[in-house]
Amino acid sequence: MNRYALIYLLTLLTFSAHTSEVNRYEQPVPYVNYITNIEPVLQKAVQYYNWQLKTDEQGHFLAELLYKDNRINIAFIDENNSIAIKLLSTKKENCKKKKRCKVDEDDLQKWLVNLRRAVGVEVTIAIKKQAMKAYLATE
Amino acid sequence: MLKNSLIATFFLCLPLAVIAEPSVLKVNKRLKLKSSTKYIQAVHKEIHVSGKSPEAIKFAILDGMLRTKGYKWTFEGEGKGYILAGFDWRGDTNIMKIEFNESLIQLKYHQAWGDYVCKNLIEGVCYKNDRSYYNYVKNLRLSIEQQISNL
Repeated sequence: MNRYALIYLLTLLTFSAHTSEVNRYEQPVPYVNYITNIEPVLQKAVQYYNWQLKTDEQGHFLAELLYKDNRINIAFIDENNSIAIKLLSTKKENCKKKKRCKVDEDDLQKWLVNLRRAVGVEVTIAIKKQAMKAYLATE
Repeated sequence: MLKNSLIATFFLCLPLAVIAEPSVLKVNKRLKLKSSTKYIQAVHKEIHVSGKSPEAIKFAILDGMLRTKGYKWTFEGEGKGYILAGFDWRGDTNIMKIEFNESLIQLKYHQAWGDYVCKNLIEGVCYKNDRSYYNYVKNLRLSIEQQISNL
């Protein structure tokens, strides 16, 4: 009986460990309290890899990538002084063979991680500018 | 009861507080699971910053992250006396904790996924890892050192 309980617990732990994994691109990019207007940061970041920045009716920031018939849509989640990427949809356009109608998972991960990195670089540049001001003020 | 809990919490947190400070690197050469001492020093050796203000040090770290040869490191968070710097390369991720005080800066291993996961971590110093970990992080350390000397 104890053995079955142990197996059950181990299965539960393994399952919870897998479900708690977060993709790298989903990990929020923190900007603490250094940035008051995130729009210029996102505007520059999306240009690194040819994404298009958009807004929805509520003013939330979205982005779209169209690359070699792959259409990817994401939302930028701005909360707790950080920006996270949420994948909304993926679509392979103009495909005729069913087998090739899915966006390649490795490519998708690469594009999303690259976008997160671009946001990270722009956030770092903005924070560095603040740090430079603070440094010059002490000189 | 509450008092005892607070005292216990204080003593439990004490080693962490001590670990969070940068210090002069002393490589334990007797460890079996260990990369070359030269590699470990290239990443984890302290940078001397005496005479610089905390504002200047913070600016030099951020500037160094962005000017790293070949690849920019990105801001991943901060706390009292440290900045987290992240690096993503072909599905692998490495996050370093750049600790600083009024006299030293030291890069410590914080977190990694993929090829850069440390195989022997002792108090923030990664004694065994993929060679590329030491190459990439070495460039970050050199860049920060360069920006400190430019102040």
